[in-house]
Amino acid sequence: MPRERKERDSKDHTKMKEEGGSDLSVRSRKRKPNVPVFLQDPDEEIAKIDKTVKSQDSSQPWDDDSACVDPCSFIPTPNKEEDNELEYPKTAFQPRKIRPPRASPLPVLNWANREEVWRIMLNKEKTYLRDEHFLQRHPLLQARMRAVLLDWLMEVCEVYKLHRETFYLAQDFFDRYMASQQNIIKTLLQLIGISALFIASKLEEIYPPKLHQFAYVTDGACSGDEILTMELMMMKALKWRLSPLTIVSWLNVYVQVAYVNDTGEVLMPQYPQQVFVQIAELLDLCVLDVGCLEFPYGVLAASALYHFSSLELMQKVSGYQWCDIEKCVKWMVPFAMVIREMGSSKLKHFRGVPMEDSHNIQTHTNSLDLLDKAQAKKAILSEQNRISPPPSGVLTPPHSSKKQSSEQETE
Amino acid sequence: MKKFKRRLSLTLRGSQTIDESLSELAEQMTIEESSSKDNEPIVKNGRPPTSHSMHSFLHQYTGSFKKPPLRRPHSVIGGSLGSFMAMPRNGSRLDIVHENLKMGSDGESDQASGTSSDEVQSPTGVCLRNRIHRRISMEDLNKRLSLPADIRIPDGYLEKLQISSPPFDQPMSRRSRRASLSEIGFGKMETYIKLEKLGEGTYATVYKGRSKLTENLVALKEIRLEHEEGAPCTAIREVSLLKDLKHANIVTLHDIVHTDKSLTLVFEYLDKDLKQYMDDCGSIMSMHNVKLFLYQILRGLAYCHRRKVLHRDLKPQNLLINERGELKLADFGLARAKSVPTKTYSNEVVTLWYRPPDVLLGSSEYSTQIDMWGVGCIFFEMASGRPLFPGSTVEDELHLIFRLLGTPSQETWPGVSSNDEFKNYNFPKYKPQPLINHAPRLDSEGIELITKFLQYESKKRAPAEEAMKHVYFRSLGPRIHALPESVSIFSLKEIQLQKDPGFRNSSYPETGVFVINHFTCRS
Repeated sequence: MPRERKERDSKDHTKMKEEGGSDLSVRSRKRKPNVPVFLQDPDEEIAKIDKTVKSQDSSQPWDDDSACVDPCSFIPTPNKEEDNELEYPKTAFQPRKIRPPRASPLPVLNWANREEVWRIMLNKEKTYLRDEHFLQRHPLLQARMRAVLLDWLMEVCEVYKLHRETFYLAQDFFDRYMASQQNIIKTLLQLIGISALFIASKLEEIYPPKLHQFAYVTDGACSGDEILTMELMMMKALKWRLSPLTIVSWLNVYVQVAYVNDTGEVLMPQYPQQVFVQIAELLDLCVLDVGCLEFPYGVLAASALYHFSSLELMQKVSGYQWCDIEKCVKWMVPFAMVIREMGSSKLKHFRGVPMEDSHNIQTHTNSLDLLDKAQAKKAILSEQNRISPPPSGVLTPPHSSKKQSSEQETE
Repeated sequence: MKKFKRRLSLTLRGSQTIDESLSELAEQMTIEESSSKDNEPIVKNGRPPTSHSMHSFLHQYTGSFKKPPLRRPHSVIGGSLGSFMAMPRNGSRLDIVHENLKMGSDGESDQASGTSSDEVQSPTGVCLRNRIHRRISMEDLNKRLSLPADIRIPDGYLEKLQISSPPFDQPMSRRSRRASLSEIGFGKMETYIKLEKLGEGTYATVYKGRSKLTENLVALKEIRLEHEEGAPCTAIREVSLLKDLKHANIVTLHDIVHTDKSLTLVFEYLDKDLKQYMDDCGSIMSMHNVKLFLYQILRGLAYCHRRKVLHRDLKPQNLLINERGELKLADFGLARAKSVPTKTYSNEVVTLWYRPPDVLLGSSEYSTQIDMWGVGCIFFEMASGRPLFPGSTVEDELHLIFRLLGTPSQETWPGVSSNDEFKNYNFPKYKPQPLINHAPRLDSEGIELITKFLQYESKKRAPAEEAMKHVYFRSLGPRIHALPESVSIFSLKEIQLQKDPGFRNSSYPETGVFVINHFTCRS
């Protein structure tokens, strides 16, 4: 019996790898060609950021009075008291609506007021919080272990043709669950990760994989019963709050708004699939680094979009100002450089998945190697910053430092 | 072939030797823990709890001792459990998350026993203080724990709290609050009494019940976990979406209780659903009540759609009504969070009679409009006393729709002529019938509104928020549109349910207020 199942799964695995593009009709897709989407030269990335900062200082496009909220202020410690622990209705009227901190970039929606939909999306960002220091609660774990686990989950998603949303839901559940526990040992990590994916698949997929398939990919490390037990433990620890607005959901909104045309077809996909995949791959790399937990999901998606477009476009589609995402953009520089060096991947096609949906399927690249390269670049960049500390407010490394940087890269 | 099947424990090996040593030590302690647990005698005195919540409670509660002791200098409970943790053998149990996650009754018994003995000892460990405590009142407790005003605290709880709690004026940590809630009874099945079975389905059985804490009636949706795939996706979606929905016209989820074999969702109880209501009225509803119910459906639905939640199973059986006339959307098992832009969803949703024609023809890229067709069907059903499109198969359903509204053409429904399913069916070419002939009690404004829901082209169907402003509802007055989300429309004194013409109760009083005599429900 085990041999038969293994053979059957191997056969299915082979089929999964086949290209299924020829027998699928390609739907026509509206495009807006004048939207500037271009790849940056990696060597000019830092210079570009400096130019952007100078441009900001000289022109000051926003009012001095407008307060740019630091994204970190939205990430309190996990012990912060929650207001609505219970579901009993409150007799008091709701407080007056607060003006949203980010202007709504949404076009006119036909099903609801766009300002209100936007406000609700922003509120969700504030209620689903993560802990950037959750590793401190687990002294036996290392950041590398999280990267290995998430990289493996991407691989599982690709094999089973699961959606990007499913992976990012699982990542959210994993990180939030780890922030609610203490002293997790490494042998439990895989069980927690695969259980998070099990829950996310049932929430998001029309046809989720079966329990035995999840147990199978752990090569005997996790049994079906263990996954079922962990499933309930996780949902309870997360207080059944399982509907975050994920990084990839934010990216979908931003890219859609960027390409929406005058007919206001906000609900049908309007963007080129290749553009979406490029930015998603950058996010796939960034999410492996535990430093990403410092930033809200909306900021991460906006920063990734920035690295493939422009400041103007980012502001238009996300409502953020430069000071909102500056820290994240700079944090993301090494990852963006590595992604560009790798070159853009082809849009993969999956058998059984419609062509117009293929960009939504999670893919897996050699992410751990890319992560190592990115972290090496980060070390080099921080070394440069340490040698020549920048004056306050403006990052302007001297030419000599820049020359040294290029020399080191040559070596 | 790429090897994706992997046991990660080997790959997760740390680069530092010290970490490996610590990890191995932890695993060794786990093994010792398992062996020692096997030797533990089974506790036969008392009744071990069947709920996992005890384990979760104790584990989370124990975690608080990691904090600096100065933060809780006089915590008697903390002191007692601290001494309990000082014992090496038992201490390791609480410090390590077991690799084997199956919770046997033995383990739970041990932990429960420990908790009980500590609680028994706690009065003797009271530290005398110079400061005199302010007497804790019921009102204080309700306010701090955000409890409803009519809750009934278990006997003796206030006295015990008076003795053992930290200074009551200090802000309460999240863990303290959770522990208090668990002691009061939330999250436990013993808190609820089953009164009668209301219905049964594939995954769940629904009971009418009562809460011992509040004496309120509740609806207990008991979901079986024996399913080989664990918690059904319907339950996961229902709970996770309802957690974010708080509205006067959406059913409230009070509590979630899980045991080894079942997951129980505790909802507020409402007397009947809309189908039962229509049956009780002999299918002749007051047109004023039709208007009130329709407005409330739209009000709850607009709230969901603003939050990008699609209900996807609107039908009279899923609309609950209490004796006051408040209507609430229920059963979010088929609901889903909607994405922007839209993407492929399942087209096997919505009960057949209320499923829109685009979904019947295989469309899987729908949005909020999927719910609005159902609203139109329900509106008709309330006004006429019979279902609008009671089809028995997909083809039959489409046939009934086209016979009344006319077979669609490229002019009336752009794109339909290229739909393969539509072409294969080869429907006769029907002409549209006047809707007034089938719902004569609807006035012209009602006919206009229902037509806005029953549009073939999904993007032309009126959104819920827009429909609420339709002239059909003008007679309800302007104040109804300004109510906060959590406030019932019946809080306005001009909004009253009327007597239904077909109501069977002959002893009905002549006053205008509708009263249901069969049910007693204290809100």
